Amino acid sequence: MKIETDQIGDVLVITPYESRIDASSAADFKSQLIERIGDAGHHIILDLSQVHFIDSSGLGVIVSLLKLTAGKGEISLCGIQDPVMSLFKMTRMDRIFKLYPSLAKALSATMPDD
Amino acid sequence: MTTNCKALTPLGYDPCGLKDSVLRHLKYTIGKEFGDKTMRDVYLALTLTVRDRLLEKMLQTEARYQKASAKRLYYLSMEFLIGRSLGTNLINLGIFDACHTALSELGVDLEEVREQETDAALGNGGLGRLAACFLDSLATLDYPGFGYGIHYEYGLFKQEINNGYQKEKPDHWLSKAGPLQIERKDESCIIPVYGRIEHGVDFSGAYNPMWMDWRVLVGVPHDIPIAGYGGATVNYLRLYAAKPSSDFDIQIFNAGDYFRAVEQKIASETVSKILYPSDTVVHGKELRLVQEYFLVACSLRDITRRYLKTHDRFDVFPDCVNIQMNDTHPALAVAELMRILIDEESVDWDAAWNITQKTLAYTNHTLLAEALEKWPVSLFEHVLPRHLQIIFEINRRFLDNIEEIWPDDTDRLRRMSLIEEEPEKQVCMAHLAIVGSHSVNGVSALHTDLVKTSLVPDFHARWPERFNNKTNGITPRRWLLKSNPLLAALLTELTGDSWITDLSKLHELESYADDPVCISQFRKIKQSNKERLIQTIYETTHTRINPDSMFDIHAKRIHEYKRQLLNVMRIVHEYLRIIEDGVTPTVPKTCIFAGKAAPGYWAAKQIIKLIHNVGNVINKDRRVHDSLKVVFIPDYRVSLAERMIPAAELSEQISTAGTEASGTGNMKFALNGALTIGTLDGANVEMQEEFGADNIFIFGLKTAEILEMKRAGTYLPLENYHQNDDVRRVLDAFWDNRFCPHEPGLFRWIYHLLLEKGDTYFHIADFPSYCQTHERIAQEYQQIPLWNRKSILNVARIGKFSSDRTIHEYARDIWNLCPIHP
Repeated sequence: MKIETDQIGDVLVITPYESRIDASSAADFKSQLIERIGDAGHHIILDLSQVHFIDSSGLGVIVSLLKLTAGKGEISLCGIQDPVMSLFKMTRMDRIFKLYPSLAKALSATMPDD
Repeated sequence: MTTNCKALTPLGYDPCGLKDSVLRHLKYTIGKEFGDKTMRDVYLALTLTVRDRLLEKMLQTEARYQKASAKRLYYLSMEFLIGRSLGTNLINLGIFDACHTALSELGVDLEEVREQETDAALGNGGLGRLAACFLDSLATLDYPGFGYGIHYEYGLFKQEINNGYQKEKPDHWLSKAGPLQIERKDESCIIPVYGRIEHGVDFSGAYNPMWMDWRVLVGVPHDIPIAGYGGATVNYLRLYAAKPSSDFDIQIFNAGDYFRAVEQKIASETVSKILYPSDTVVHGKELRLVQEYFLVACSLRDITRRYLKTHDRFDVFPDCVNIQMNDTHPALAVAELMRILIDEESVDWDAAWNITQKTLAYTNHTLLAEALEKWPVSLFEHVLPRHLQIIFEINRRFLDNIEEIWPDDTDRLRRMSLIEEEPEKQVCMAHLAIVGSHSVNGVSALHTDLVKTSLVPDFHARWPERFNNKTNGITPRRWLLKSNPLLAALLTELTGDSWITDLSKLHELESYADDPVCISQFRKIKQSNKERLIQTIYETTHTRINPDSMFDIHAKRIHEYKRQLLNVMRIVHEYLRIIEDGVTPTVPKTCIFAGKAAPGYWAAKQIIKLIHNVGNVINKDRRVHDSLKVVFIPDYRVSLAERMIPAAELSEQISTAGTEASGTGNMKFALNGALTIGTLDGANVEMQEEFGADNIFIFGLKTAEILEMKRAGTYLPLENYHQNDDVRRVLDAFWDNRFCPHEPGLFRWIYHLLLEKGDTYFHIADFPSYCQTHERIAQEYQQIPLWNRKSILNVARIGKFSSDRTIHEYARDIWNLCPIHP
């Protein structure tokens, strides 16, 4: 799975370039996230604008990200496509992440002083 | 460049335009020159020709609904027993004659083309056929009403008979289905299933149950256009096929485990693979629960998606949408709509519950305890963990309310709970449907009364205003206009054609009841329909039938409560009267059976074997002199019913009083001029009221009498056996292997069932009056003016039993739905 990271100020933006995150790619997705986040406390924005389908294992990885960074930083999600947003709502995951329609909106919310 | 649809060449509805369309589709869709065509090719080209016109009207209808911001009714049903569509579409679009002419000019016979179509057998029996009749009426009456169901790959099994035994063969109707349906991949929806609940908190610290580790199904809609009579309104039936979220799990595939990848794909598609071949015994079957959820989840996703195109909030959802649950099969809609409102739309519980109740309505179809759906809580939790949570919460609040009203009545709480505690914890789907609906209806006056007084009296005590009756009906377009064109033409000649959309207009026929010319025409038409059926009987059973015999037809699902066994007992009685008592029958009779038995229903399958064996003995016995024949026509289905019903002279509707919810076969036969022999059960009661007691042959115990005998324990079939010579002789014939000389003991189960196991369905109790009534029928059948007068009066007074009347009542009393006329 191709994932790009971009450090913008104090914020780490992670963008998976994969239209589909499912059982076949979830393990790779998780290991790459753990590697890139490391131990540092970060504001993390997961940009899902390129993802059009996530199954429960993919969503499970994102929830585990929340647990991984518990007490060390904040996680926001942005650019969520309609089918994926639908799954977030169905499973009530939309209630535990800060969600933004775009990366720009997420950045401005995360770095209000800039 | 812009494309203006108005620039399209208009579709022709005249013979010339239709012929042009058929030829174009033959060449450019099917890819055949006219000279190379097969009859199947012509059928496909004609279906495409009709579909073009249906789609044109469907788009116009949708535009009309949108312009009117019309409230919509969604009819959720696990079954839609559509049968064949081509003929109905031609009639309803008003192009039957034009197509006939168009094809004649091409040297093709329309009837031969129509025979190419296979039945869409996406239902078991009455419940599914009712749904199909309702769709016809909704469209005919210009109501914005749509069917939602499952796109089964295999319909109800095909029935073959081998040595008198039913053999089930798969019915892969899709492989032979015409191109009427439209796949709408762009409107597919994602449905989660299975998994677990992770208990957590949201931003505000409130409890947040997250649904994790689910699997996903994709629902792909397939739309079948439903044309109303006159063609002004074309609605649709939307059927969902289950697909995996991707064709293969690529990682598994790449790892070389091709078969596991395929298995995963197949597991998803299995959900819409088969229609369960029983209208009763499906409890505990995980796949069935997933199917029911799949139907509900796909439907509600689609319904809410459409609603949200024009609304931001759900406050007025019940003003725009009503959902009718056809039996408890879609009762999960209560939990699913609550889940959508609460979890996805953040509506608070009380508001969500108010919306849910106002939106949903439930039709009960059965009083049989074994047919009331219950699902083990453990299975429910495994398949739908979040829905189970919601159901528990609904139940907690509901029982709190009951306790407030009836304090310290723990027995009442136990009886009414949505969760049955013993013998194992189960979710009662009927209770869920009643609690979550604003309307609960039965399907005949008697049935509704029994729902209130016997089935769920506690719920009736809590919400008496919620319970109402909607007596079933049938569409006269299919069950007369299409299936009996000769009679339809005569009725139109005598009364005008307004009966087609207002069946009460047939009342005008009453003045012809004693008219010798009319009687003669009636008889000729019946005779012609009998000749047509004789041909079918010969082709399917190789039995030759006397066309002057009385056609006595018992066609419906085989079930103990429907009492095909009672009919066989009566036939055996008449046979023994001929060969042992030397009685000469008053009239020759042909006793015709048809119907499928659920594959796992042993007694029903034995009854089919019994009918065949009794027929084999009687039909070959020269002493009978062809005055009594017994035949079983295999593979009863809609298209066969359309052949059988117009030929019937006597209709057997003989279920034990208090068991048949309504019946609709009874109405179809009467509409086609058959007289009914029946018990005071289901809609027979109202048929008697409408026809007059002189024009229907009622026999047997009444519901109240049976209930009282059961309560008091006064029904003793063994005593009847000893006291009644006729009963004893018939049962002894089964015991003595008269009908199974080469398989001794084969039918002794009847003896055990009726004499030792209590005769649950009161065969022996009703046997004497049933036989006496048949004797009276034989006497009256000989009196041609009398018999035909009654037959004509049945047709004249059938008006109440049109599904148009039923749908108007649903629209007025339950759905608050208005027609949107062109």
